[in-house]
Amino acid sequence: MKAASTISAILVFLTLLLIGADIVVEGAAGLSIGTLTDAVRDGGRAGGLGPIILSTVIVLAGSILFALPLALGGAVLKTELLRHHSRLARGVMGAFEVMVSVPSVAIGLVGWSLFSQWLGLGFSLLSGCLTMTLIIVPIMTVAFIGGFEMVPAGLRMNSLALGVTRWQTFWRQVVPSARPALAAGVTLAIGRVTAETAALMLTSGISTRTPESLGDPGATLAVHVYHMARHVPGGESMAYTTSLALLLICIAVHVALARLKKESAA
Amino acid sequence: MATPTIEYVAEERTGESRIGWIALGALGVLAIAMIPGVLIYLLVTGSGVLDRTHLPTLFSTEWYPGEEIFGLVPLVLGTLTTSALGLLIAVPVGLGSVIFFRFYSPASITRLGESTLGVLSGLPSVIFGLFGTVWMVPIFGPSLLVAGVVLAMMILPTFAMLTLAAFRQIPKGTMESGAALGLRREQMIGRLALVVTRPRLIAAAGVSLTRALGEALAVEMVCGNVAAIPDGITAPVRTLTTTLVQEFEYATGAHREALHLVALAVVLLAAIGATLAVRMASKQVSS
Amino acid sequence: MCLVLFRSLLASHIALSVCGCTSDSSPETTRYLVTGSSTVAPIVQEVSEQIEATDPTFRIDVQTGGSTRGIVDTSTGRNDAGMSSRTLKPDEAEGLTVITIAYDGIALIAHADNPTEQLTAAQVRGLFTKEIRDWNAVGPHRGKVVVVNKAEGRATLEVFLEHFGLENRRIKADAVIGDNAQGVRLVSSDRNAIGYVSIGEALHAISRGVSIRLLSLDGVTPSLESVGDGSYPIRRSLYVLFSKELDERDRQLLDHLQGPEGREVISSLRFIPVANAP
Repeated sequence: MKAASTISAILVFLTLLLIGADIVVEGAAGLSIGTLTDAVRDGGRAGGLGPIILSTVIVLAGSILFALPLALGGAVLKTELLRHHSRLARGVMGAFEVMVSVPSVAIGLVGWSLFSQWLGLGFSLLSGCLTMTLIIVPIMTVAFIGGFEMVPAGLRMNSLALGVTRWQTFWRQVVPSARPALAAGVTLAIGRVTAETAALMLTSGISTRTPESLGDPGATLAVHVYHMARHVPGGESMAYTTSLALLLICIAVHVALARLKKESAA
Repeated sequence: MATPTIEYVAEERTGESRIGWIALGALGVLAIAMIPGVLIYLLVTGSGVLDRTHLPTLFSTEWYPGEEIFGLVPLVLGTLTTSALGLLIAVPVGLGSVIFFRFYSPASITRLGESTLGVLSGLPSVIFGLFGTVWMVPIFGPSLLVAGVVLAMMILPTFAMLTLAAFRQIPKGTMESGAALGLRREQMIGRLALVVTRPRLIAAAGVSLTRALGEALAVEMVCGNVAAIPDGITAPVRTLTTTLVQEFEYATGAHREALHLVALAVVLLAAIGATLAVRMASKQVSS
Repeated sequence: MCLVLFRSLLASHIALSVCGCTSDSSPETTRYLVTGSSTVAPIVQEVSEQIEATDPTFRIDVQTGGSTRGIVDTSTGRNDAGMSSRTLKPDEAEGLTVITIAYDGIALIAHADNPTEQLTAAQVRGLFTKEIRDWNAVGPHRGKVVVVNKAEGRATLEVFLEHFGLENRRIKADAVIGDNAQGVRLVSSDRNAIGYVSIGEALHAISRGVSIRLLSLDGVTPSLESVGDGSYPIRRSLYVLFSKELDERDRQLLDHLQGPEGREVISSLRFIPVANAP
């Protein structure tokens, strides 16, 4: 038992080591401070990642902004508006849980078909945002529901008994109390959007030009990595550099969030 | 005395907001409707191919869109085999490593392990695909094997983190009772920990399975994309998702409609997997 | 507090989407969309960057999607110009202005370490249908043939099938790839692989040191010269498509493509500019 489990653990470390080393070795050559801000040149084979990072941030912000009200609504529907433990409420919860598993490629296809073609948005950041919203709403909703349900029943009851309305109770007691779960939901959504490639490639496109509005196309970091690695001849080294940049940004965000969590817990 | 009931019904108390609840409720309904909406959209758009000429081809083992033959069988088989292989590798290794972190390793190594898993889980799948292309494809060729290994690398972090959380939530009393009864460490793990956490482990495996079913790009880079039934583990395969990725942009007419059905198929597979996992997990809890 | 935050988020995202949807900066800036063949796309992409450098009011976005999409988009007015790497059928060409801007050959490639130098058309057919299973039947190399084929819907596949009189179902592929770049990469990683890509792509890769080699077909070595003078058998034209009436921006793009800078771009990508060929 011990031997087998130790070997497994070693394999896990080895995986990260190999992948990490691969990325660092191949990608470090092209990485500099300028990489994060410069424009893209030579069809992506040279230059920086400034426009790509901007596109990523825009898609991130846009999808979360669109998804937040929907996820909030979904969670409220289940926890406040439907009778607790009714079959309908449990069905709603189950529906959201199953929705989390929908493959993003399929959503990407719907996004392209529906938003880009039928609605005429074409390859655009807006189309990407809307598509990502479809993907992250279930994730956020499930997290929010978990948060709202874990609020101690006493908190609600005391508030209502004191004459505070349900609406006020919700916003002034329930929501603040569920803050960790809300934050977790948003964090999961951020991770999902950052890692998403297929759905965004089909909707927000592969453009490396600095986007000027939501109607412009723009590649996100993950999409850029794939595009450079697969479709652009000679683009492998840039794919690695972009991967490295993405990895570093992920680690930085990871560390920052962990620090925030520690502070708010203290 | 005024009739409070009529007052209550006639106007809101200050601070209550019926509009607010209605708005949130409407948003919630919209949120729920999204995925059935997606399914319906896929079905409706793909229905063009459900006519007499094309419908029988859906069940064939050939995928030749150029001749309007849209056999889903090799695609579904490819999806199932690659995901199964991925699970087959990721679950033992993931479980093993988590057992190590939870029961055998010093705290510092455990923290390191958690960070490793955390970082790995945040990497976009393309990176794993790149790794496979550069290191594994030259040896084994684009194949089911490489696709399975790449999938395993991708789903292992999520599975391991969920499993670790489950182990952490074993009530202390359970383990203490085991120790009090004189069980050895192996027995505590095998007969206690694994049994108590089984529902959550199954749920974690279910989540990982649906992730594997839905993965497209990383698999596309390493699986070979040949729409045929693989005759060995080093034979190339194609999955539902890689078909979408490879052909979608370039498809027109009936081909495009057929791809909507391919998307529908993979959504249904993932939904079935997720429902089964949720059902199995909760069943264990109640028994 | 949460409520205030929530409301301001809502307001800002509405504002963002409003100003995003009614995009377009200044009135003189033209947003121009070109869609179609991924073989032609690099040419138009580089030309677009050149044009934008000298004329910032002309912004061209290039999207791939295949020759068929390029043709359909141009016919339905979904784009401003289309790109195609295959000949248009008569009903497709209706209402469109079709301009040939370059020639491209499709070359068979193998790994650089594969000493085989030439193949006949019959041998190519045999290799791809796996009637010939080992390289030693066609040359000094020994090893089980690994066939790299192109995905359905790609113009390169159609040109290949048409030239060799094959149906896709007869090809026994060991790997199916989408873009030329993928094909090059796969062949360069397997010593027994054979594939076919646009000559421009192959030559470009070789000049970058990628381990592939060109195979001559029926005695003719694929090169820019042999494609240009028509001696290499598999040659195709690369087209740019406009709707019937060319407007000012169409003309601006076309002039640049057909002018010295455009031809330079085409040559540097290892295609043959039209003016250089008979």
